[in-house]
Amino acid sequence: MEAETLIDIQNLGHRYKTHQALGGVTFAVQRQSIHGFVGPNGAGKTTTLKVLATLLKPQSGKVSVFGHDIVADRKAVRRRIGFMPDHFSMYRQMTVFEYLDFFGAAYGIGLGERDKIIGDVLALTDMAGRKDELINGLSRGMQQRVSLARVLVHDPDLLLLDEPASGLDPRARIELMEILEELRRLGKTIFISSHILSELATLCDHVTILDRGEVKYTGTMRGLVATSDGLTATYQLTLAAEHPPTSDALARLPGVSRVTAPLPNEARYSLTFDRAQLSPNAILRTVLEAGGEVVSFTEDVKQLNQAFMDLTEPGVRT
Amino acid sequence: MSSPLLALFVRSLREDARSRATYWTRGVLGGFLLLMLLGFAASNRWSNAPGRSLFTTIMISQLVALTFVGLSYFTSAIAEEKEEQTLGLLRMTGLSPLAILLGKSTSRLCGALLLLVGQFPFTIIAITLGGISLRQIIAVYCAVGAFTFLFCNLALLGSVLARRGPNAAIFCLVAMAVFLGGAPLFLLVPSAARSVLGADSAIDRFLEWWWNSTPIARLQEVLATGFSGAPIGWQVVSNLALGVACFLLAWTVFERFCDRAPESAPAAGSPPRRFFGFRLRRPPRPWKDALLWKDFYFLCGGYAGFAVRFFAYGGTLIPFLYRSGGAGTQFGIMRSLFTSIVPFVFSVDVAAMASRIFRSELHDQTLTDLAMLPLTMRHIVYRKALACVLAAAPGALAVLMAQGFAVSLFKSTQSSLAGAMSVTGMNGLMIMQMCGSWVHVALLVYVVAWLSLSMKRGSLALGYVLTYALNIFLATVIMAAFAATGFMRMAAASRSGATRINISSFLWSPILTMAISLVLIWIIHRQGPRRLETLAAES
Repeated sequence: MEAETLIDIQNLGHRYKTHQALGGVTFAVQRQSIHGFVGPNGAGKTTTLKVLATLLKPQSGKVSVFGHDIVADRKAVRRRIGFMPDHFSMYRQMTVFEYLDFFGAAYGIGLGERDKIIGDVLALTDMAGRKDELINGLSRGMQQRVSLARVLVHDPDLLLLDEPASGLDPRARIELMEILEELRRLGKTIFISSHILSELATLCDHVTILDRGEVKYTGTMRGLVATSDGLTATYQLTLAAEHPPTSDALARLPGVSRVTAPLPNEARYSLTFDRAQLSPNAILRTVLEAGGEVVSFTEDVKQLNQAFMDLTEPGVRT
Repeated sequence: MSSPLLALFVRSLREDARSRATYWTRGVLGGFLLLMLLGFAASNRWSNAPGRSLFTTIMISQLVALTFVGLSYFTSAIAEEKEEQTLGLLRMTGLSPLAILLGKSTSRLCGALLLLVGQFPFTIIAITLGGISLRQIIAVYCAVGAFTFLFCNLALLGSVLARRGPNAAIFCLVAMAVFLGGAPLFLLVPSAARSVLGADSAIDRFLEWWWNSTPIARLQEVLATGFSGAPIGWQVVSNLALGVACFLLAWTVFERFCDRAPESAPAAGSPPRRFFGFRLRRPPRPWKDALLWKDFYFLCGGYAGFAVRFFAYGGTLIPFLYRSGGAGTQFGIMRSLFTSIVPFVFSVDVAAMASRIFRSELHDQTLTDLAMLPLTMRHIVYRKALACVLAAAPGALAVLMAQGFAVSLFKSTQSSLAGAMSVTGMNGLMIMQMCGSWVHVALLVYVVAWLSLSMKRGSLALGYVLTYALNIFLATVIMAAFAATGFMRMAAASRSGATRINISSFLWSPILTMAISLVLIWIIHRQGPRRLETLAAES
């Protein structure tokens, strides 16, 4: 069964005074997916997100969200989306509860229902214990959680998140990603932008890469890896200790094109192999049969970055 | 010039020289002066001293403009660095406090003084219109220049002492109010009470010395017919000395007040809300109209702010209730004072709200969040404006009562004027003036709110200056037109033997001013929400 299209962008164009921000952008986002939107600085990600959030009117092309035209049915679209901009925008003199309560009331949610919803979103973002604190006193990561909670207050089906992890420390990033995973399980569709592809690699099932206002790739994350390097794959294997028989066995496997030697004092191998001839399972089985003690076996994220580098042009947009 | 002491000062001067705004300001000022000149040349044909009238109007306008614009322009010198937490970075470059004070303040003073110098050739034309001499013009410029010097350095002191720009502006405003209004207020104290202090004559001499230090007294003296004094008087010397004292004081206390760490975030736990030092309860749950609730509580002070306004404005009405006091008594003077002060304070109050209503959203970058609500921007603007109207209600009521009192005063004097003017005409004039004052406040609010969309600070001051300049300009132009037609009709009526003045001609001035103001309000009203939508998308 074909997945339902939630966002449909056809030939979207937008020009600012001095430069063309978007030139014929076309892609779609499926329901209940986490769709990454990646591109270097100045690629046009925020412009696209603002168009989707109904803040900017498209100058050319057609954009529909939930089947509604974003220009003609702006109000209907706004009720069903939650937009988190790339800057910290908050009423810092309010407490966390007051802030969420205000937006709940502004969306016309009744008092009783509001209490339940706010309780739920606070629990989801793990902010229930800090609901009476002033926003001004919260850390950046906490403020980002509150911002996400605000986006969820009116229970939108689609979340538009513009670089939500920027400026967060590694722990806060991981925690944010966990919340987004949880939201997907709750049936939300998430459209998330970032200029770091590897950050979204484990989270997103679909990705669109934008560069200089043009779509360079749109499709599944797996497809992105395939387009970058044909049918080969690179995996990182880490053993508990250096084990020459394992590396020899791997090098002898048909389809393996390269096995890099471990670095001094680090039993870590990089394997490049042909997907058509060999599967990761077969590799892992070979390692275990050779007596290697596996610590980790993961696909090389660097390849995603390489794909990104191959698709986007070098230099800064002027 | 490579001296580190002047590095910041030279950079500021260079920035000013390269900024288009500098030339636009001078160009607009020059154009304004030329239009005023044309207006006066047309309308004061029958006046004995049109040159003096023109020059007086220009210089009083400048003093008002200087006070309002200076409040934000001069007071932000150091305070803006504190607010943006960049003062520490400046200190790290090795700049001394003196270099920072010179760089941040003296360049602004130079800008203001250059503005005065730049208009000198225009105002000197007033001599050709008659009624004023070159000596008087130079003396007035010296007086205004010295006052600018004092004002700039007082603002610098406030900027050093205060943590934030608005606090510095309040400090400067209070200090200026005391300086300019202190002597006249002391004179309101009955002489009997002053003699109780035992040194009546010494106090009087002190008050005279004080009053003569103000630019108001100096302008009165210089602009009087037959002035032949020195261009540099006591006011100039005292203002310069006070200015230097303020600068030295700012330099002395700089380390103490500018090395403090920025205000840290409040500690976790129950958040305190304070209003003039009093601990306040948190606001109640949002009303059904959440936007109205937010701005009423978080922008206008909520019920605490409402109560303060209610008692403050209510207090000003007490003198009106003293029916027994005649016009010549102290209460009579106070009543007359409050008739003009209450509307002025109200206009400042509502204009201050207007300057923050959208600026606070832009500052907190929350306009995008509001724009995402399923409401039109126009609806959002209305809800926010309604919150301000609710908060300003006590002030509006006080103004209405003050106007009512003014009408009753006018009625009591009507009988003496009834011979010269028709009662209907006088009532019409009164109503027009009252309506005109409300339209003026509305225009001020709209202009300030509009300016605040593009100005980080100073929208309130510039709004005042622009609306004041517009009023002066319109009055001049309308009076010029009226002079060309109205006086001729009056002269014709006089020749035909009519005993009463046809006051309908006088009504045209407020009517036309109101009409033009309403057109401007309508334009801003139409464009405002669109501009906000653009800003929400751009932020």
